[in-house]
Amino acid sequence: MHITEGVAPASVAAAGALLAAGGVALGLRAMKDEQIPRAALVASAIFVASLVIRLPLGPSSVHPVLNGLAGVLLGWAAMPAFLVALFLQALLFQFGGITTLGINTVTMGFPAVACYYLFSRRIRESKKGREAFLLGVAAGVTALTLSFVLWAGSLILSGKQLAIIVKLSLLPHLAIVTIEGIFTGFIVGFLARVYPKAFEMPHIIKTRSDP
Amino acid sequence: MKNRRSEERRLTVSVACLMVVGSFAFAHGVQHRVFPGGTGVEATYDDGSPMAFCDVTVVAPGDQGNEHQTGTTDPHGRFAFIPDTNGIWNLSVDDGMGHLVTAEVQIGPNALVGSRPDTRVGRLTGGIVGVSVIFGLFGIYCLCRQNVAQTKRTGGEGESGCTSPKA
Repeated sequence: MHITEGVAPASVAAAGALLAAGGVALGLRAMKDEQIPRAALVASAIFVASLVIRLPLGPSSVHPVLNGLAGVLLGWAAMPAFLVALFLQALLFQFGGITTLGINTVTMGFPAVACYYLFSRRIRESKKGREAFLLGVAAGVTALTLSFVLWAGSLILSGKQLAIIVKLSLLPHLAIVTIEGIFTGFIVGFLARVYPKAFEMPHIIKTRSDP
Repeated sequence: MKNRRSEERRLTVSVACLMVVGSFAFAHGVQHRVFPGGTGVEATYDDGSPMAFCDVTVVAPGDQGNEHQTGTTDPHGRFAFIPDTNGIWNLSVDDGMGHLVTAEVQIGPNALVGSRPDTRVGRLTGGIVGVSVIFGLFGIYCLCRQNVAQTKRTGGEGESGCTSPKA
């Protein structure tokens, strides 16, 4: 899922950086002081998940992104969480890159925000654990599928061939989408049962009007 | 009549000459010789699996932007070429799926071959460092925000470590 250094031309990298900067600014604005520790926790989980869990599928390997979970837990604050996690991954392990940091943040962060709008409220209002589990599965699947689309789009804009991308990466991504969907479902179902406040996140517009 | 015969003869001689010249022109045989050596790189993903059948681009020293040679890695992620001049050769291996690795191969007077050292840290060490830095960064951000909020509440009289000091 990470696009490495040198793959994207300067124009695509700059566009990604601009979009990411906008998203991160909105995320920082939406984040309340008491939500910062949660953002740090989720950023750590994102950082560690792709290091520890690696499934040897496709030409290399696939790893969980956890952007569905980050989205329903953090909302717009998922953007700075992804920025920090991806920056450290690039710095310490050469996953992705510094010049492609913006693209990677957009690829993984914006689907998380989309999942927040699509599923967070429904999860909060869900009465049964099974309903929360299914909504969590849907969030995980939707976020990673959107990420795959954005990732493939970035590569196509960088001059890569769609046929090769689809041929080599579709099946491995389908596998990780399934696994991550189920994983997100379990976490969301568990949190909805024991700590439903985890999904209470102020809307960005509401945050602006807060004193 | 005589002129016509003469023209026919000339034409015949011309065609014969062309055929002889043509046969020389196409008389290129091919042969081969086996030689040892060459310089190569081995490209792998971070989990150690080889970057097999990936596109390779070789750029000669001082010829940035122009491809000296292109090719494909073998099933083990290896690619070899024969440098014809001294200097730093740039090789890039691209799998077409967002992964690209570049290598600098130095060819010196004594045919010394070097490459950029691997600066990656171990997974456990890097993981601990990364998580610590994440909590540190968010903690500093939290402190800054609280200081700014406190400064606003007190009308700029309170101490703030993150805002610019007022004269």
